[in-house]
Amino acid sequence: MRGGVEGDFGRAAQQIGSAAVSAQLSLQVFADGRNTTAATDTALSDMLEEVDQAVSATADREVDTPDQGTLRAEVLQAANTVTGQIIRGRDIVAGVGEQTELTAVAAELGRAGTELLDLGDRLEAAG
Amino acid sequence: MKSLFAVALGILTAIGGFLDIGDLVTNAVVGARFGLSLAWVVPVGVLGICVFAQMSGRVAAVSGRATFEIIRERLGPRMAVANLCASFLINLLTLTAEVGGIALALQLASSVNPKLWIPVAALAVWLVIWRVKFSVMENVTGVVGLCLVMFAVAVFLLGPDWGQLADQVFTPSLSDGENLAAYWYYAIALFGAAMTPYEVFFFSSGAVEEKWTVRDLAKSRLNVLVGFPLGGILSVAIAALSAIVLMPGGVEVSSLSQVLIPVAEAGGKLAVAVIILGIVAATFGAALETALSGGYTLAQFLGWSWGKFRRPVEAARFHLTMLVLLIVAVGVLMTGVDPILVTEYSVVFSAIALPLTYLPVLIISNDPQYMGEHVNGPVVNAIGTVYLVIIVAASAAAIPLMIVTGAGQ
Repeated sequence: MRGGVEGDFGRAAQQIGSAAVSAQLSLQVFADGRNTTAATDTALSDMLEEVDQAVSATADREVDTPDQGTLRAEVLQAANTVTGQIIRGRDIVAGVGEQTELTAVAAELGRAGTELLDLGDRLEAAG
Repeated sequence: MKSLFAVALGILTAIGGFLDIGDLVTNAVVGARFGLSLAWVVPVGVLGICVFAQMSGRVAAVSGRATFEIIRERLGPRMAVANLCASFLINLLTLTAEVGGIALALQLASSVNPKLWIPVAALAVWLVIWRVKFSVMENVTGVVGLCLVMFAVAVFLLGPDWGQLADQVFTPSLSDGENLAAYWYYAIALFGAAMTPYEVFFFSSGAVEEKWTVRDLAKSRLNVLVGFPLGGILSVAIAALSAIVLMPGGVEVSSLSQVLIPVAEAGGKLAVAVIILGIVAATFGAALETALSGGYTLAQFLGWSWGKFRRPVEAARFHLTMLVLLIVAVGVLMTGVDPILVTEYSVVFSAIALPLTYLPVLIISNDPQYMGEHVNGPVVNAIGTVYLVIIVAASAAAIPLMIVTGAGQ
């Protein structure tokens, strides 16, 4: 377990990235008609909580330098994108919105998740 | 024919009853992080629980008394109170995790917030303990828990690269970003999940509930030696599903809902429904067992009247203990604590408490005063001693590893 501000932001980025990829997988199997509404909704709700936890930890973390402040803003911005997409996915699963959008939402979550996981790896290595 | 049916039912119950929330969560977490490189821990844990469960069942069948009663008589109140404190607290932690597990599984079926399910689950557990016959309770949850066989089916439906999985099993290695301390921390967690102390006390007291005698020894041995290893295969299947579907995407498992993703991908809605039913049965069965184990240990230590073979009014303090345990578990869960986190801690603390549970069992099963000609043979003693060394090592390493890794982070 790496320490330091960068290490903490790295862990948060990985947590959010993992939640994003997990939400992507949930939406994909739902779009394929392979999972129930209740189980998918629960999975997305769980991933929203994961992102919330990581956001709280990141927002509460004090920074020592402007670069660290920029990093924090980057992680929080990415978390915001992921939260928005998960909520959009949840709405569609609940019947609000077009089912055809699910694939696009899942793809966006997958892209954001992969980027966050890469960022997390880089920051953890630097931490 | 009737005895063949009884043996088959016992084995099926042992398979279905082997998995609980600790096994479900820990195997999924480990599979997503380490692939199958920790799969070797499962057979180690399964062999251990087979040896000690069979030992404590034999003590009960031969002496007609539960292991915990004899521990106090044979080893004195000081040793017994250490055993009681450790077992009782781990039991409570495990019960809390299991009740939370039932609620999470019901959330997966209904989308209803688990906090609304927690009191309902606890009430159902209490009603079953109070009203339902021991054998019915054990057999129904065990047999319905067999739905978890779908985990193994799902692995085949996914059509994985078997060579790659075998490589992970037989040449364990750490993936990028993982460290050795976390690897061993999760090895201990898996070991603790397989060898949870409540299983031994439940097995021994259950033998008294079902009035086992020496004639039942062969049947009980078969149940354990066939049922538990088959249950262990399901544990590995859960880890394999995570390794196949979640690990490549860098997903860390932090919720029960993620355990369903590979199942949905493999078998669709029907498989998901079957698994949810299996998880409800497994966690419900384990909640019954942990609640009963709490009642058994306290009542046996204090010399109270105990057992479901007695009417509740004849074992009032035993039943009151279980009611209080359930209320405490509900209270803890209603604070908003994450049941998955409780589960992760419960399996590690189980590992820490293992020596206090298993050393007395080994001593008593070697005492001819209680066991007569049925004392342990040299092979069982040799295996038991080796396991005691492993258990002590795991117990001693658990807390330092927990601190060093930040509880596996």
